[in-house]
Amino acid sequence: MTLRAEALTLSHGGRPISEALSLDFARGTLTALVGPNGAGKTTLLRALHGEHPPSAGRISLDGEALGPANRRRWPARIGYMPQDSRAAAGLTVLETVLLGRAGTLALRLPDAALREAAALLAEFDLLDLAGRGLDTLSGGQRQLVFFAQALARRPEVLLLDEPVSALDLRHQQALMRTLRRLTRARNLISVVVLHDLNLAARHADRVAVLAEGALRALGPPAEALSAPLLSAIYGVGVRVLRDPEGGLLVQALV
Amino acid sequence: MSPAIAAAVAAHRRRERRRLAVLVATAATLIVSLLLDLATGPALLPMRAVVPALLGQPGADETVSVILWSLRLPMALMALVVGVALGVSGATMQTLLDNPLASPYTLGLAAAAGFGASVAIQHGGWGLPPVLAVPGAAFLATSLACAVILGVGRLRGMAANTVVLAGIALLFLFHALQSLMQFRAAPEVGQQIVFWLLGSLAKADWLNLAITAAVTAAALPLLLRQCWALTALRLGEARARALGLPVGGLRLGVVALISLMTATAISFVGTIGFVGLVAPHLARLCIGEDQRFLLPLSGLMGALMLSSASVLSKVIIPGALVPVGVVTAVIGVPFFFWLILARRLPG
Repeated sequence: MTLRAEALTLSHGGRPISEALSLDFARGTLTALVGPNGAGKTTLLRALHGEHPPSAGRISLDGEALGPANRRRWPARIGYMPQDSRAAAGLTVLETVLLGRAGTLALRLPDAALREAAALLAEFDLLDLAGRGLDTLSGGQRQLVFFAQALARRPEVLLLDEPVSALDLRHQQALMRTLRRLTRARNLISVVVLHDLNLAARHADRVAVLAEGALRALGPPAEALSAPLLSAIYGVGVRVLRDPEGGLLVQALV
Repeated sequence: MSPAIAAAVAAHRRRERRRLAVLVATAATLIVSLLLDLATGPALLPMRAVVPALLGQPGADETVSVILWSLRLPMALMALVVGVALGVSGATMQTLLDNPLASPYTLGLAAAAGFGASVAIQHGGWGLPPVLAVPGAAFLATSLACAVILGVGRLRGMAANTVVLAGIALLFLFHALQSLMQFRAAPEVGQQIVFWLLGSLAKADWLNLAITAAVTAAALPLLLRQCWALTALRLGEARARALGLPVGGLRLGVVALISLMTATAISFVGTIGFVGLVAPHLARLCIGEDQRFLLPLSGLMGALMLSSASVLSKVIIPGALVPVGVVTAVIGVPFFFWLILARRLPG
């Protein structure tokens, strides 16, 4: 059972972003999408979410192809966290998480929905902030709230676009650990865009390296994150080391 | 369930109850304002005569009953219904278009209504009774403006900026056309046009009240059904799309609905400014962005503003009825400045 992109051509405003892109994302697997800015990572996530129709190719989830007939209900199975994390004044943190299920909520909120949202906040040590205005939170706290919102959708697929960009070191590790744990426990298909290659190496089961719209490598971190490839696509010298615990350590040579 | 989670749920329920209390308090104030509106006029009626006449109690003063039931009640109720329609439309527009300055007037709907009414007045209603021809033409022109906005918007996926720009362009176009009508009109016809444009509840009667109330009552539940989608839209378009909400379709449907509601209200009472802009901001300050509460409170605030403006319009110059549209703008502008300077508005 997989989320599959086959021979995908994506373009934006008539400008081609990627051509003939094919890759699979399996259940219970955390895949990191890495690559330089403008490589087409966000566009690929938006296409997988059903927001950005491909010019050619096919996207399918468990064999069901995405098309005009199911485009409206397609996102129901997906928790998508875009980069944009605007904070609206006048919404509390708990309400923001609840909005993860905006499409299914009735006028009267059941206690169960509130408890579920509060439990998600507890998971990220944010329960104390439940009644606070979203606009009073730091960028990092907001990112965690939106991650909780994506989880509130009870997704089968998680698509996260740079979910740790505003987080401190501790919260980066915590979010990635939670993501990996949930991916396994709930048998999720998780795809996360990361710029931090060490986070990708440490937490992802597989790494997909994109550059100029093409898939340049796909596999376990030790295979996909090779120094020559990274040097070529980022345009800087890169060294890949093994840390004492056997993990990968990617260093830029400047 | 852990005590901390139970406490967070309880705190949320308390917030909901507080918001409900604000709604109830505003509704209670509205009833007071309605009674004051009924009591004031060229003849100041004592409240002890108003209430029995209103309730049809035996022994109620017959003159008071006639004044109330044939004149003041339709006007006072029209103030409430139009206030609700403008307040709810303004709140929804501000959310849908992600623009704190949005109101039913931003999209040129009132300008279109003014133009339609001017044409009807200029042509003597084409042989139809003016009570039908003028609101009918205002409604048709507003519907036309709405159709153009939706048509242009759809070409760009109902993007907020496109809708706002199309509306502002129409605002200027209809203002220019309406000025042309006034320029060409005979002095007495021009005066009638100006009077219509000022906005007045004096045009209210039981029939147009029933029509406006029916349209507003039909639109409100449909809008409330979208309350969670509208709340999610406050997080920005990208996030609303991420939550699987069809933002373009939502804008199309809701703009059509509030245009119908606004067009009906404006066509009967003329241009009443500022209610649709200020009432939602006041409501938002009181209870936040949860549209389950914000939409009804914006409606109640709009009704309260228009009802109090109606009272003021009758007492500012004793013996004269100042057009209510003038009162809402004159009171509304300084109030809006205060809101801006208090830095409580977004942007």
